[in-house]
Amino acid sequence: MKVYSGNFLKDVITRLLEEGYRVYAPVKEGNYHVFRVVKSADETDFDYINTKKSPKEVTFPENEVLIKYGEWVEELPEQPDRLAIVGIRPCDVKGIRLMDRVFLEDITDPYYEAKRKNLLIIGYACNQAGDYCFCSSVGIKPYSSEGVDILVTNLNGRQIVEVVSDAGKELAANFELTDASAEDIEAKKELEKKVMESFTRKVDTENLEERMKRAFDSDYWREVATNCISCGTCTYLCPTCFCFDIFDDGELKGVRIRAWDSCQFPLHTLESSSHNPRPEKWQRLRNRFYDKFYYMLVRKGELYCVGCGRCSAACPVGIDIAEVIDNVPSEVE
Amino acid sequence: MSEVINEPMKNPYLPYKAEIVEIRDEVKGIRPIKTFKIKLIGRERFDYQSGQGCLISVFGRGESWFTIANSPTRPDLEFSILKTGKVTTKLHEMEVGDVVGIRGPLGRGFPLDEWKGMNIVTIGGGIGQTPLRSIYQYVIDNEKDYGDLTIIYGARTSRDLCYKDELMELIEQGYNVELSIDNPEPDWPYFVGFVPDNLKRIKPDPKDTIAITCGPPIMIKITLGVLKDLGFKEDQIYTTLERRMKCGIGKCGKCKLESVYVCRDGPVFRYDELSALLEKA
Amino acid sequence: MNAETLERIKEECRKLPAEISYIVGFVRKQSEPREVVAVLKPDEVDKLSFSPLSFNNPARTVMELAKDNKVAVIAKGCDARALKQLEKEEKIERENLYIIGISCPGVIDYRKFRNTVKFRLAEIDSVELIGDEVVVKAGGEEQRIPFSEVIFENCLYCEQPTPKDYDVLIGEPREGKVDFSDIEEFEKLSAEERWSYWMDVFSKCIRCHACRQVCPMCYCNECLVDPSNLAVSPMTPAEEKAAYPRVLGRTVNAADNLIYHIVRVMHHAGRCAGCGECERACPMELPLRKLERKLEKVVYEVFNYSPDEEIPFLSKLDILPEG
Ligand code: SF4
Ligand code: SF4
Ligand code: SF4
Ligand code: SF4
Ligand code: SF4
Ligand code: FES
Repeated sequence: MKVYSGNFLKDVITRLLEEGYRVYAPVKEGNYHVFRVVKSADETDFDYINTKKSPKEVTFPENEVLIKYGEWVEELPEQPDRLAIVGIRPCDVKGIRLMDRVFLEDITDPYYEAKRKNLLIIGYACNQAGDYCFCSSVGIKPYSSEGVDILVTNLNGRQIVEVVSDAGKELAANFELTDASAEDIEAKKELEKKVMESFTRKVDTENLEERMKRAFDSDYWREVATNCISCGTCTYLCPTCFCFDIFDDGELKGVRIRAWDSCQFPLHTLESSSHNPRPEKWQRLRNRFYDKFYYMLVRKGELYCVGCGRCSAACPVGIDIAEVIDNVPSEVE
Repeated sequence: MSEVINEPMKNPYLPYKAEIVEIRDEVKGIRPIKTFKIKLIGRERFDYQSGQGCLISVFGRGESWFTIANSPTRPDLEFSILKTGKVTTKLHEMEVGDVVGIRGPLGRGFPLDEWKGMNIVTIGGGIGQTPLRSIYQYVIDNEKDYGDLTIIYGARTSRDLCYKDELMELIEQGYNVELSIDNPEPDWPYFVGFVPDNLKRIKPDPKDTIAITCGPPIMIKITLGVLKDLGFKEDQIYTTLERRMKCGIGKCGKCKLESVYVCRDGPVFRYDELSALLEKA
Repeated sequence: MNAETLERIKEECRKLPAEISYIVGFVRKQSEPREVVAVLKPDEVDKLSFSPLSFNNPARTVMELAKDNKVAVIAKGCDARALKQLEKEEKIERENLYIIGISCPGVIDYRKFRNTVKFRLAEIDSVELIGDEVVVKAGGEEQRIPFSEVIFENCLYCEQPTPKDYDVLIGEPREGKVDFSDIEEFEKLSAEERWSYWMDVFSKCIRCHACRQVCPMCYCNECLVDPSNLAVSPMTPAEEKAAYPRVLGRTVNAADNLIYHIVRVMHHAGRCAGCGECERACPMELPLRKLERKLEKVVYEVFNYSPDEEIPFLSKLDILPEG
């Protein structure tokens, strides 16, 4: 553990920009923050619980050209050399790691890999859980350094720097870091305890797989979906939703694009024959909850929700994943 | 990195260039089916298993998934394509010599190696015969490895039957081919009625037998019941599933059925695998 | 919008006509003070809640439910206006509704509220509007916030705070107004300034389609901005599917998003109820009402039509004399 006397997050951005990185960092837009490509550290603002959109678009943009075509393939897109994301929260780092498992395991997705393998991750520990956060319920510590190259913690106005990876070490070598004192280490422990106590949301994941399995045919899912409008808000904001569509834009000449899609959209699974495996909105909504808390658990052995709470905070009709999962009935007729 | 993206073998989104070398009309009318024979340009055909699929790509229109209709023991690639949407309408307008893109082989095929020594019964309806054709061609080409072959196939009318010439030839050669149509027609020498009813009549013996059924969902459902009544166990029955597919490589989530990705884990499934799922296929 | 309003609502719900099978009202969420729309049985009146955080419009839920049920609905002015519009468009039958109208002083903008309130959301016991103040109570503590600081901006221009059509009304009727001063202000900007304003707005849109989906007027099965058509059947010919006009794919950029919004808004001409659900739904917090209100203004000024007329806008256009 090291201490930096200045603003490490901002200084690291300046350094990365000098080195030619494309840097994503939180920028304040109106009443919220989002990750944007920044040209200078001055554009950034680190006073936030978390960003409105998840940073998944760094490696998985909402629209991505796969192929430029005319009569046949004409060109494939250039991939960026060096990317960095600065100020990402531990839940979202976990989100990237879950995305890795989708795009890199089994058949490798080269477009994702091109961005991911050149991505430097500078994490930012949370000092306070937001009103919708429940990462601690899904096994994530809001000060975890897992998966980052460097983790920064704000400790009473000073920045604590944990250098985690080799790439992080290389970068950190450019900064004057002093060893953390025993008091600092103690104070950080205190802070971690405080953060863990700051959660107002909890999801009971005890025996969840079994509960989900039994509740599948329960009317509960129809009730939960009463007001659902089948929009893409929850899945588009989610750091672990990976579904996408592929389509051609341009008849004789154009681009084959992949674009985010959502299992909440009725068109998502509509087949050309007009058959739709999930025609009802409650089936689609159930699919989202099961995908995150059961299907992916079966497939990958991990929950595909990192508890960031974005979907709950933004759902236009107030459907709240923490409440929904917590209330999954354990007894089903 | 771009090197990988630029190489078809390594970039799974990049299609192989291929050429249509033959087009046969299977079914005419308002829901036409054509069989396309396709040859890869500048490379050997890839190896595949019966039941696997490919995404056929027409730039400007998109891609659609089709199961390969011929056996890997035969040359080139054949696809029987029902005209139903954007891509297929375009394909139906195409001619011999036109270029298409092919991504494949995709998914999991039938475990024909595991079935060695077994009797094979294929039960097909309409365009669902496609993967079954690949199976029976394979079994015929490797006759000594398998027991008896029974081909049960039906369609709404005699004009809706695919691969008619080929099936007639097989009948002439003495293969056990059981055809049916839903309603009576003059001069129809075979069974009249639904495919599951024909199956009920034929009563294949479940002993050392694998039954594979493909066709409209309702037909599959009833067929399954008949097979069970005949004493078939779920692990003796195979089918293929249809879903909307986009990536074809288990990434995009379109074809997801519960925790299973039809494009990657299927399209071939053994029945006990499906009945273990929460979300019914 | 205080405890008393809630008591009146419950009272009315306890004496509903016998043929009513559901109440569509507001229920407080489990972990935060806002209400959500809920479908209740008549014997579940005690679950009802109401506050200035009962901001959602129940019309969409009612439209689904009232197809084959008689439904009582708690409706603010704009909610009732949406119901009326759906009735005019034959999506709802009035005799299937029992409207418990609320004379509405305006609702809270939850985003502003979250930024202003000093308590954690989960700790809040109650939120009431008392006089000009929002009174928030949490664990024995109290915070008073001037209503003007957290009011949903849309409510400042409300044409119909009191439902025009109701079975019972709760609260004293309030005057609405036709006030486009905000739009007039905006119109003073130069074309370039307006263009760059909207391009900035639309560059932030992620095309989640929440604004369309949440809108009680956007009930079409078939939408021009969808890449394919939900209204297909097994009988739809292949050619028709192949020729489906794709105005937009899922391309997301300021120019395409602009088309999406223009298509969306144009179809609301003379129909928009002014509830503000689109703007509230937008996860990117975009000023969607501004577009809608500009169109409303045009409809008033150019076509001399008010959405409160008994005949639908398009029908009225049809019968307008030539020239
Ligand atoms: S849960 Fe909410 S955000 Fe998700 S589709 Fe339904 S209404 Fe939209
Ligand atoms: S499901 Fe919701 S809470 Fe979970 S990771 Fe996604 S957005 Fe966050
Ligand atoms: S299936 Fe739904 S919940 Fe799962 S990743 Fe796709 S969009 Fe998200
Ligand atoms: S969910 Fe956890 S890690 Fe994410 S912002 Fe909230 S407290 Fe931090
Ligand atoms: S709700 Fe907002 S982000 Fe979503 S489509 Fe509408 S304007 Fe765009
Ligand atoms: S088609 Fe994309 S995951 Fe199966």
